[in-house]
Amino acid sequence: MKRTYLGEFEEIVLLTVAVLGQGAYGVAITDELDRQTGRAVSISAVHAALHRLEEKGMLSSHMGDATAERGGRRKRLFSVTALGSRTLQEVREQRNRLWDSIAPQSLPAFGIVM
Amino acid sequence: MKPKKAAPPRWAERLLTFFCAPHLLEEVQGDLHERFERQVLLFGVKIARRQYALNVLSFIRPFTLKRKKPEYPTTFLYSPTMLRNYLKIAFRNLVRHKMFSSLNILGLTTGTVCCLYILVFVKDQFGYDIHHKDAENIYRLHTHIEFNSGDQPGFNSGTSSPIIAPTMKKDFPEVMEYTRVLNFFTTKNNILGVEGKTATFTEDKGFLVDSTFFKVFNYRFVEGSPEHSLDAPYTVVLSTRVAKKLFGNEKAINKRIKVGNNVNTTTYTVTGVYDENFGRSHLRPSFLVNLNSGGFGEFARNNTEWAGNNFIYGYVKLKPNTDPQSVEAKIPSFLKRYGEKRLAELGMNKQIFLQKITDIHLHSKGITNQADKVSDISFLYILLTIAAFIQLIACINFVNLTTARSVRRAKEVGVRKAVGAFRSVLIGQFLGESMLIAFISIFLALPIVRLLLPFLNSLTDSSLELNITQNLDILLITVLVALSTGLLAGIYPALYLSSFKPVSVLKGTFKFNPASVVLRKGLVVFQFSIAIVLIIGVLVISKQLNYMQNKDLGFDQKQKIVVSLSNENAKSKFTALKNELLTQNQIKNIGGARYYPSSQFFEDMLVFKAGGSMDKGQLIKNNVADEGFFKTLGIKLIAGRNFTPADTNQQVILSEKSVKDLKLNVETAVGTQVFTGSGNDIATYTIIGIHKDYINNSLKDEITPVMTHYNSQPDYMILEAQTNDYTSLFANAEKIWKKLVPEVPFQYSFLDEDIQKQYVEEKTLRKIINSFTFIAILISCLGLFGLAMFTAEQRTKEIGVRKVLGASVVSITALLSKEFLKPVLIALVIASPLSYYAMSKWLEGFVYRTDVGWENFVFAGIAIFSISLFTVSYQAIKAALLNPVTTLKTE
Repeated sequence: MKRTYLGEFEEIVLLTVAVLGQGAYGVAITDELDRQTGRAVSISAVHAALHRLEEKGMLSSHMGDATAERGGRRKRLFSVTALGSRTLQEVREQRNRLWDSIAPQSLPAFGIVM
Repeated sequence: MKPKKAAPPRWAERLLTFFCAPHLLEEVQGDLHERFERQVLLFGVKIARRQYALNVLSFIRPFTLKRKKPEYPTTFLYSPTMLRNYLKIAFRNLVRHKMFSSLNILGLTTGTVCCLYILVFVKDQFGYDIHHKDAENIYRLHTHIEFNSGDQPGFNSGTSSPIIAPTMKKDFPEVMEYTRVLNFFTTKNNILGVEGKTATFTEDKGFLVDSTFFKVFNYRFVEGSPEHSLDAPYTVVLSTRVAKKLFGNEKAINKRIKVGNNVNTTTYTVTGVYDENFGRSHLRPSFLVNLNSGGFGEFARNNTEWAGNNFIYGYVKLKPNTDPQSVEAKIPSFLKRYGEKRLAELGMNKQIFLQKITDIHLHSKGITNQADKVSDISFLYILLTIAAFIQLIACINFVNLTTARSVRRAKEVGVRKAVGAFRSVLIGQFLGESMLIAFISIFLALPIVRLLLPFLNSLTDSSLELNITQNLDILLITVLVALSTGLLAGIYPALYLSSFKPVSVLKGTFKFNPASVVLRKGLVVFQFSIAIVLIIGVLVISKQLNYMQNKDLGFDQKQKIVVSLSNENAKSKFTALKNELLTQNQIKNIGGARYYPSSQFFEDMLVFKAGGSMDKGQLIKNNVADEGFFKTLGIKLIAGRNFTPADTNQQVILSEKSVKDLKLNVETAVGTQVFTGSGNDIATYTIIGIHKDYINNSLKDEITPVMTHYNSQPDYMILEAQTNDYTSLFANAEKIWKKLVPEVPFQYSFLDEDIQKQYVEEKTLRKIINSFTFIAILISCLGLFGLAMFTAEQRTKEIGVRKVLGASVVSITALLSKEFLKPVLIALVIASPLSYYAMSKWLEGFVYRTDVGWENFVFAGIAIFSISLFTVSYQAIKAALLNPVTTLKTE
């Protein structure tokens, strides 16, 4: 199946944008990532990923409002495009298919065996 | 008051704005600030600031560095069409204002000619001894000696004792090789001839050298090869010039030549011929003889003296990357080890330094006994300064004429700006125009320099060539001169012209900026100050030279002819020659001596009076003379008697100064004895007379103490003529000469000319400053002329109205001239103290000197004033004579 490759980090960022809905911009995404996954990522890494995703056409963006804490600078708000959403769906289906084809007991059990 | 808000570090902010692509900057910076605010609340300012900086650094990533392509193309202002337009406008402006353009170009061309020549000359001067392999590792030993007695001046010499260099090679592992050069065949006394042929030539600048000479120095051989060429005794290597003189176009190698000096004649085998035009060296030898060829060379080779006998040039070549100071630091203990006893005996304190051979030509100030004429770096600095100032004067002309006439270009600037030109584009355009003029000047200057080269070379006493095509350095210099001239001349006018506001220019309310008028006047003052300083410089130098020419030297220098008795035979025939020549009634007196006034004393000895010893001895120069010497030169004896033929070397006549130095008394000294030497080896001399001091060297130096011994076989014969018909005198003298010493060429010079030759440096300086003064005045006046012309043009209406109202031609001329003479007057006030200071400093270099002289200032003032008045009044009178009808009828 041919589709645009999506890196693991990119996938998470894309999902986070979807989670945040209207208010998805650099700092908010970074914080959300931290809260959801416990990964302390740098703002620059997030920006780079957003930039890349936008280039791939999975995100679209527009300039939002300015706030005082930003020194009067506007935010760039991101939203997931149709392509982005489809890609996420495909990734999810693929994972599900893979999970379904794993034979029972073939994965070592954990949490029960001492 | 609101507390100051915590702010992120300034440098990080700047860095971010610098590297981040503009289209990303807002969001990135916004996010970072938002994060920063929160960090301040959570962790405090300090950590927040650090975090901010780290964040900024982490943003240095490809995507922030990459700039977005602009959506709309900006106007390309350097398109060929626009460039063509700039060029066209520039040429139209040049052609339209022919007078101003030619004033500008003339000034810049003249300046460039000077500049170019001086730069080429200076570049040439810096190229000495760089052609030797590993030149930076070759050093000459230079000796500094001080006497313990204290009342004698010490000296710095480029020479050292012969044993030092070879012993250094033995003792110091850093020394790879040594060689010594003995300036033996000096003066004009060496007669060269091919064995078996009668023709002889005289040659100076022959050196006795160690066989290692060519291992240290690079020479390009035309015949033979440098390796082993001087290994065998009695071998000689010739320069191409000498080889040509001796052998014509024949091969010189393996032929035998005779070299005679005032001691003897020796035969040598030619083992090589080198190209003397390859590289420039501080030695510039005409021929090189193996030191191991008997005679004086043998004396030098076997010499074991560690303190005195500093007569040889010693060179050492150090291993690569050796610090010369580490070697120098070891020398004092080295000298102590070998020479302590002897140094104490002579009462001297000796130091040896290493001087880079590449420094010898330009950095030898204060070091005597040089092998060849050396220059001085400060002379080059003077030249460079003058060149820079001349070019600056020419550039100021351009600045003044361009800004004065800026009104004419103002409309163009207005229109260009109105249709969208940026200021930077206009600056580029105007700078381009000045570059154009600078390059036109260069193209005119190059052939002029080439044409004037013989004249310019005679000024600096050099033989430069200007081969732009062959010499890339010169081409580079030329282009650099043009570029810097264009920039210097053009930058201010470009900034000024491009600053005009289109609204005021196009509306017609444009007014001159009064500050620019003041600046113009200031620049004129600057130009004339330079010109005045130069004029006073020339006047003072001339005054000093005149003073030296007319100074009573303590002897009579007029009508004296010096004839060199070049070899042993000629010297032994001195008495016979003298008697024969005196039969000619054209010759009044004849005297003989080893050193005549203006020739350097090469011999000296430590002398002490009865009861003294060597360590308290006085260093006194030695001369030998016959009984005719003092009479011929008109040197007065103030005590005792003159020499008689019955005297010997033991009888001496002292100079007044040496009597004083020895703490003897003029009245009682005659008849007493003085001594030199120590232990069993003490020589005794009887004082038979005392002569008045005479200037035996240059007026730059103090009179040296002299002791003259009797000798009837001197090295030079001095004739006093009592006729002005020198041609017949020389014809007769040569006839007698040929009869007695046929093998020696008859060589003579005039004493007063020899004396004047000591001041060549000062004369060169005068010649150079003379020419440059002329040029500085010329260029300054060109500028003044242009400004006056412009003002007269501008004020035609005013002058018309004044005339109609009854002003006379004289009053209008005065009105216009006054404006321009004021800056000249101010320049005089500024330049006078400056030049007084500079010239007093220069005069301090002479022991016998005149003063700066107020009359020079008056003269310079009158000269510059009348020249500028003449320049300005031409325009002023022309404007004043215009008929008001023609100037006023247009309105």
